[in-house]
Amino acid sequence: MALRYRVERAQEGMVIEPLVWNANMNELAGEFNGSLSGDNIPATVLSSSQVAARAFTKTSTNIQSSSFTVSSSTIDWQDTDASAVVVGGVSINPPTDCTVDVEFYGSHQWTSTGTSTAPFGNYIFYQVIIDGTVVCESGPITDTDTWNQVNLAGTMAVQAGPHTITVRVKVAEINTSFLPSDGGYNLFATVGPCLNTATLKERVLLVLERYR
Amino acid sequence: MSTVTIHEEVPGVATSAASFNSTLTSWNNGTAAGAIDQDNVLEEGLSRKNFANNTVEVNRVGAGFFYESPTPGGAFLPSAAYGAGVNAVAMNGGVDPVIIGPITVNTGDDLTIRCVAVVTSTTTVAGGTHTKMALQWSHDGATGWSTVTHSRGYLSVDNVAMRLQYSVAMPHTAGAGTFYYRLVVEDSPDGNVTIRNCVLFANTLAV
Repeated sequence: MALRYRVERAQEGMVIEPLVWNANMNELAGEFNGSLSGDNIPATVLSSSQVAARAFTKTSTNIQSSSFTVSSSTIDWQDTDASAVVVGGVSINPPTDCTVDVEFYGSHQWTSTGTSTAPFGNYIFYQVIIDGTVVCESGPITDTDTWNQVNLAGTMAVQAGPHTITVRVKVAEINTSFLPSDGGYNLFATVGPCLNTATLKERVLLVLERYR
Repeated sequence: MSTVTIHEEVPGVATSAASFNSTLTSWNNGTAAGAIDQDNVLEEGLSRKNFANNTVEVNRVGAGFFYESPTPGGAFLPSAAYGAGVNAVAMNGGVDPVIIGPITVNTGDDLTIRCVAVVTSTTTVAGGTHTKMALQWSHDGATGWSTVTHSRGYLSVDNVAMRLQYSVAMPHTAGAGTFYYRLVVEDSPDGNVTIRNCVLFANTLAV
C-alpha cells in the first residue's frame, strides 16, 4: 500500500531524537523493500516492456505439412501413421495452473479405394486430447465429399507441470440407419473398418496457455 | 530486488557523518533509475489499471468482402507469381485485395492469424473438384506475397456454404516488424468460387 505516514514527528526548535529518525526511515524502507503495489504506480503507465516475456500467455504451434495416411484396418484412434507421421501434437510445461485454449485446423482427402452401400457409410472423426482427456472432437465426417476440412476448438484448465496435447483421428464404416432420434450418429452403430482411405493434408495445432 | 538499509542512530550518541550518509546513500542506490524490480512489488500487488491498453494483447480484424469468379465455369485471373498452371487471384476480383495489416510485432510477440470465410463453390465436374485456398503474407501489403504453405484448405462441396479457418503462430525474434495477410484462391480448376463474409482476424500476444 502506498500510503505511509511519518510515525514520529520532530518539533521545531528541539534536538531530533534518534528514535524519531529511525522510526520514520524504517517505515519508508519497509514499504520500499517488497511492499510496493499498484497504488504506488499511476494508472496505465506499465507496458509490455516492463513485463517479462511469457508472463501472462504462451503460444505454441505444431505444423504438419506431410500427408498422414489414416489406416483403414482399424477403428481405433490413430495419432501416428505407418510412416511415423503424426496428426499433430504439442508438449507444454506451464509454470502455474492455467487454462489451455486449443485450436486445430486440417484438411483431408478421400481416395475412393472403396465405397459403402446405403445405409452404410464411411466416416472420419477428429479429436484433440490433453493427457488423454478429450477437449474437443468433430463427430463423424462423411466421405461423400472427396475433399473437406475440420476446425476444432476447446478449452481446459490444467495444473502447473508437463502436459501433452495430441490430435488423433479414426475412420470407420457406420450404419446410418441407427441414427438416434436427436439426429446425431450413434457411435455404437460402427459396423467395422472403413472401406475408403483418407489422407490428411496440411494441419495446424495452436495452443495458448493463459496464466492470468 | 533493490533493498534500502537503514543505519539506525543511537539515542544519546552524536551521529557520525558516515552513519547518516550510509542511510541516504542506500536510499539513493535503491531508488536509482532501473534499480527497482519485481521483488520490490507486493505479490499480486499490480492490477489491470496499472497497465496501458493493449499491453498484453492486441487484436485486429480485417474487412468482409464478396468475390465471384468473373467467368462462370472458367478460369480465375492468372497470376505468374504462383507458377505456371496455377490460377490464383486476390480477393475482391484482384482489383482491391482485402488484406489485414499492418500488424506490428516486436521481439518475442506471438502473432496468430485466423481467417474465416463462407465459401460457395460451383464446379462443372460432378461431385466437385477441390478448391484450394491459402493464407498469404507480405511485409508491405503490396509486394512479395508468399503462401503460408501449411495454412491451406481444400473443399469439394458444390453449392454449399463452408467455413475456412487458418491458424498460425509466429514467434517473432528479429525486432519490430510489419506483416500483412490476405486470403487467396490458389487453385479451382473446374469452376467458380464465391467467397462471402470473409473475416481476417489477427491477434498479437506481447507478454
